Amino acid sequence: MDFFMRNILNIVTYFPLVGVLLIILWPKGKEHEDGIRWIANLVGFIGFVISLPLMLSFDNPKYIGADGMRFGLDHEWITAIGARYHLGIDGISLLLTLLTTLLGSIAILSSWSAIQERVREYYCYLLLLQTGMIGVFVALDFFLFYVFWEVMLVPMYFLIGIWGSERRLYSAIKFFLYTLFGSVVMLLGILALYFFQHSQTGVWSFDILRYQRLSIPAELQWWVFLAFFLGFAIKVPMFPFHTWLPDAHTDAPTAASVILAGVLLKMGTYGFVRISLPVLPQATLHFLPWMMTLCVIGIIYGALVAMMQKDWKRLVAYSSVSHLGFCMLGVFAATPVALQGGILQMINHGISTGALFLIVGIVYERRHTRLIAEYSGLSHVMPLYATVFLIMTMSSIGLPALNGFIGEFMILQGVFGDNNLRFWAILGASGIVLGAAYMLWLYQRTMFGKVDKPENQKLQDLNLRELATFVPLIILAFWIGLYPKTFLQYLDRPVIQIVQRVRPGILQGQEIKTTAVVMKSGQSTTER
Amino acid sequence: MIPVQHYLVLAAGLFSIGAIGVLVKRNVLTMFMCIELMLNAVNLTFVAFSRHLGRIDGQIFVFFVMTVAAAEAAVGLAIIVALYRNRETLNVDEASSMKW
Amino acid sequence: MSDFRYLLPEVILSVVASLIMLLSPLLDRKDSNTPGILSGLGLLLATAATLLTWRQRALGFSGMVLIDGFSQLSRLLLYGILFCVAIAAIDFLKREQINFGEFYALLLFATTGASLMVVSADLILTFLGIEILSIGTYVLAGFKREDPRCTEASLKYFLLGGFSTAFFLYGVALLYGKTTSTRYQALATSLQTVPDILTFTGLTLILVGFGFKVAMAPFHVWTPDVYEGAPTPITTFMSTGSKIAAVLAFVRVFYMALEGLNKEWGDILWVAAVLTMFLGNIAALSQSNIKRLLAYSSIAHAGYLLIGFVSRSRFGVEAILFYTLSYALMNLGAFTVVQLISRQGDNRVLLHDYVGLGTRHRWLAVSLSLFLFSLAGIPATAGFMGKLFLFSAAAQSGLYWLVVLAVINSAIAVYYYIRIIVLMFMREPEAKEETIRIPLGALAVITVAALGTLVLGIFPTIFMQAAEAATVAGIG
Repeated sequence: MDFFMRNILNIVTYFPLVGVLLIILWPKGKEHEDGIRWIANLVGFIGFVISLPLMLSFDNPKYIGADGMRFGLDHEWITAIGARYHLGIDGISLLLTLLTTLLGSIAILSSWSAIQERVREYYCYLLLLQTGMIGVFVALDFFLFYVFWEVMLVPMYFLIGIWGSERRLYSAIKFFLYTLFGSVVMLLGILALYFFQHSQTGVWSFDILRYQRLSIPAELQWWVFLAFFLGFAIKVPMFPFHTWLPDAHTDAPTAASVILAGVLLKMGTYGFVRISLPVLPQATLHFLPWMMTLCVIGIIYGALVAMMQKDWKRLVAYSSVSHLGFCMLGVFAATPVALQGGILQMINHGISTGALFLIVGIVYERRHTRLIAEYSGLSHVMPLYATVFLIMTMSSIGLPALNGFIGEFMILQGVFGDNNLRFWAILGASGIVLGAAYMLWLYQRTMFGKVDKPENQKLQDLNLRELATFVPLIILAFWIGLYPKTFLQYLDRPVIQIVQRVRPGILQGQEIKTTAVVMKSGQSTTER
Repeated sequence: MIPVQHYLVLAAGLFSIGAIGVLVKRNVLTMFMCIELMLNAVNLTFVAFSRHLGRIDGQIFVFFVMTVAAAEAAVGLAIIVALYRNRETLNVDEASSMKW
Repeated sequence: MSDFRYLLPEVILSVVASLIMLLSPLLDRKDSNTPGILSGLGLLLATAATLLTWRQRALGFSGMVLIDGFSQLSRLLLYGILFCVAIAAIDFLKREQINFGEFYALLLFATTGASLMVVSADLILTFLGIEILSIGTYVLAGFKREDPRCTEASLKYFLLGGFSTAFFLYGVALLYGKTTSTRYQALATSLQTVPDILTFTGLTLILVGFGFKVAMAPFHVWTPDVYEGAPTPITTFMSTGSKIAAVLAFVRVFYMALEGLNKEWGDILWVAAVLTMFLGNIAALSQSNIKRLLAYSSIAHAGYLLIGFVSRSRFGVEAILFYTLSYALMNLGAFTVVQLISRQGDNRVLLHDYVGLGTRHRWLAVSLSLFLFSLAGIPATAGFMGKLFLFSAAAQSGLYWLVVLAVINSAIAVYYYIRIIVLMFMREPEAKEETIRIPLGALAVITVAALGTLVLGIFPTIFMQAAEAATVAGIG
């Protein structure tokens, strides 16, 4: 047991590879394909279960390292350049890792009947992707981080390119080249930091924690910030680097869309939180107005374009651009509440948008069209489906008692609390209104009205397997909405650390317990 | 006595004629002869330096070069014959089918 | 006489080659495996002979041959590559009905030349090594005598090869006149100061000579034609064996003999590296023949390798050594797959022939993708680590702009590699094709190359330590 706990990060990260191996060795033939599906689902589910101890033993002093990171592992790796195999998690990576294992297993479950061709390869890529994504969140060595970051591009590229819809080739290549270009530029930034670090300390190292302690001259910070910005902003994606996203989302198979929206985009935001902010605090402050502007443009632009869409999936994709703008608004504001809200909103977006993609996927599998005009009155034929969709719509537009509300509220409150940033908070808030508009309009067009298409008359409602993919997401949506403390408590310490690096002034004299502030102000709004 | 510079200039001239010849001539045999001319210019340089420096090794190098040139000639002429059988031309432009 | 032990591997190789020459008329030309097996044995023996003097450092033949960690590692690298080329070729020769023993004999002679190039400590011996390697390769490039494209490739290679050696030799002659010697050590001690016109010309001419051999722009023009026309195993050999021998000899000459002039050649190579990368990558974008595409890719990779030279540091040389191994692995793998797919006649080499390969021959396609990803420099592959080492060596020497340009180039390059992968996996095959038989030799080469690419990509330290030791031994 102790061995398991000490190596838990390795086990959680590489467990999906066991599935890949089993699937490769599984006998060939059409009749054995169900076996492959079973293996993948079991591996996905066990992968989620074994990641739970991360949360349960998170505060067990036995596994807390001297640097405050949990379950740390540190081995020599590439001695020639000083890269180490260094893993470890804090509260931020904990939540994102759990989100990854959960959404990963849901994505696998959701593809049971949707994928009928080249099943073996499909699940291999899905599981490989899982390993790559977890690796990004647990790596504490920048080089290792970069390796995982790039490696997971490859399976995603195949998932879109092979199992995608009409324009899959175009979308896959666009996705690949965009992200690759961004990360190559990011590599330049990493090298710059790497050499600077050496010139300061005389040690060759890629250790992120070490980088977080450096004081880097302002000019170098700017350049490195811009290099990282390109890498992360393309991944997030922030306006104006978002153009790959609608294509990739629209053409990806459902499971890939879920993972793309739920986890892959978070890698960009995670990069900002883990690296850009604490390593380059001055540059972050310097570029703050620009970043806020881009975020707000993203929020409003994404919402407006979403409103215009005729394609259901594309609409959800553009809503991602808008929501991620919100996350980034909170992150860049770098006040404790806003940052915490931004991180929580990453999780929320993973839950609600992941679910929305599943929802589109279900009707797409039945009707093979994503045009909104093709559907109407579905609530009459698929009542259960309509209910799930309703909950997720509400979660997405930020209705109180659901997760989206907490995240958006904390972000806006945090940004608004800073006098200089008040303007952006007001602009950002308009995004919530627009968000409600396009989501409710979508709901109205598809679920209400008459069933005017004969094909829609006899659509199957959710079956048990499909329902099972939604249950954990619905539970989480309510859980975060009603009692966010379970999750927010993990964020207190890392958030304070980051804020201390970026805007030490904010914390002086007022040791805020950030969650308390939210709860209190949340109550006061309801009272009013 | 003729100073070493004269030999060197002559050798450089021969080398340049050879090099330009390879670049402008289109007949395979002529190009090959031009390469031989370049090698012989090098030989002349070696001998001149050897004499000038009063060292014998430069002259030995010339033997190496001559041997290599002979081997090259044997292989080269065989290739040219093979080419002529396939294409019935000795003009490199006409014989060239691969272009980008 | 005792000095011969230093050249024992070369002696073994040439004796075995001669033996094969003598035997081949007696053998059944259609399906005799003897020459192939003999050459494999010869290479193993040569490897053993290299290991015999492993970890020794000695000057032999009155200073013409230098045995040290660098030359030993280079030898092993070359023999390993040749072994792979030879066993992958066995089936190819039978398929194309050119199963002549001379093929292996020439291959071994060429290896002897390559091997001499890396142990040489004298420019004249280097010249002889280059010539022995080249003359063998001229013939091999035209080995399918009846195929017009083959003879054309052979002729082009011959003319430009001869042309370039003349330049190299002229450079040697000029340096000889300046320093009265052609030994690396003597050159290094004489060439310390700011060069006069004679030295500078000599240096430039030698650079041109090497430039042709490693396909450095603007002396790369022969590469695509020759790679396209030559029989595929020979293309494999040229893109791995001869190129790597040239690169290693290049390191030896420039870091040992011409170290004092590194300011001069560093500046020239900076420009050449940038030019080579851009010309290679941009030309590769529009290719429709995979051999030609890989030829341009190998030009671009020569550009990356030159970055290691420009950084003029020990780490740069280590990075070059690491890169040559990873480059050899990925190209061996990629070209062996190309060789299998080219089928009878060796002419199915258009990108079009790769459509839908992923459904028909999944493992061939998967391994080719791995090699292409490695060439493109995607992490967890050897190609990425190699590039990373090269680029960090350059950054360490303060060559930031070079690194930026190189990174831009790697980004451009991804496009054409990915295009092949798209064709293989994301397009449906148009017509029913006969299945490809995968012979054992080729399978072994592909497996070794794939495993090597992955292992070097994840645990680069394994080889990096050897490279470090060799560099310390070789250039101090």
